[in-house]
Amino acid sequence: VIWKGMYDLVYHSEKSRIAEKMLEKALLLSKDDAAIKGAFDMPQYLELNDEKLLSQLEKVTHPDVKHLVAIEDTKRLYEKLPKEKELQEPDFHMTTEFLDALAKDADELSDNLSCRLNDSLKLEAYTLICDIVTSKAPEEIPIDDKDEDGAPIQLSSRSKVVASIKPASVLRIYVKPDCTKAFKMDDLEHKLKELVEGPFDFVTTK
Amino acid sequence: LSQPNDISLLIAVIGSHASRVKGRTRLQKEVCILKYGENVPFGFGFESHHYGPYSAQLTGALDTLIAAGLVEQSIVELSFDKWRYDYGLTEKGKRLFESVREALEKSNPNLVDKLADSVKKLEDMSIPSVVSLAKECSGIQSTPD
Repeated sequence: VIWKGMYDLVYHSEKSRIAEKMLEKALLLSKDDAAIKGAFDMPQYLELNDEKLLSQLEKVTHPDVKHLVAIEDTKRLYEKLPKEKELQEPDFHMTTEFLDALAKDADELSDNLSCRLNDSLKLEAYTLICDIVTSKAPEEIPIDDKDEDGAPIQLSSRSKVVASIKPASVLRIYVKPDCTKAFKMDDLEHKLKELVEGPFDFVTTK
Repeated sequence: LSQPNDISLLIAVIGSHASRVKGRTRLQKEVCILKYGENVPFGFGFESHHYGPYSAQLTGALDTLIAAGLVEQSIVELSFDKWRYDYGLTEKGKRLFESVREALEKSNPNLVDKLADSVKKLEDMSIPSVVSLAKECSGIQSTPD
């Protein structure tokens, strides 16, 4: 229970999650930049830390990257759209391809959705950032006991509190500051539903 | 022929049970047997765990289906201080299973029947027998205590 509370508090904290996604997108847009590529080669990688990475990203000339890495300026932080949606029936009728991608790599799927959503609304790259936040049920936690079959007894079969923690997948959307009026919410919701429920070709790079 | 994805196959396995799947351990071992013993094309990786082969990817896929409202977990009281978690498809899950079955029948004609037959046999086996067979098929043993 403490694990669950701490995990959500630390890793699903709204502002740090937005900042993390902005940094991720800045890196994706800079992946062909020689200095950024070099930072991930040995031995430079061993000396890489967050400040060095940010300072390298600030040198990238791509205008969207400049915008994305201005994290310390709180006015540049993306805003979360108020409506967040659980990826579940009956709100979304997901295909098995979409669910498979969600189970395998929610971050890659989020990026795929972000790119297609901006394209379909004719917005610049990463004006909108989709972020699927998955909250897991506790994995198997065997306690020091075995049942009559010799199988380790799981904590979840002795604690209804632990067992009540259910997995969830929540879709959040972050929008570039000053762009909240660049699209209509109805259009966004319509396109999003189309993308989640429609034909889907997803190849994970992992 | 196209390769079915893991989620489709997992829905097919859960949907092929005459009743609910009796516990996560059983589901883990059944999928392991289907993968290694029956060559059902699951991509889940299995590794040695406290009670034989275990796949964290399978756990993740099951959680995804629960979160999506396609699989429901129910509690079965075995004794006053002990219970088990059983898994079955929700109504939406059953509808998805029907479309999965249709798609599989077109792309992999023998797979649906093979899965149904294998699941039927496994469902009747005791947990120790299923665990033992999973270890035998996969060559993956329990981690030492």
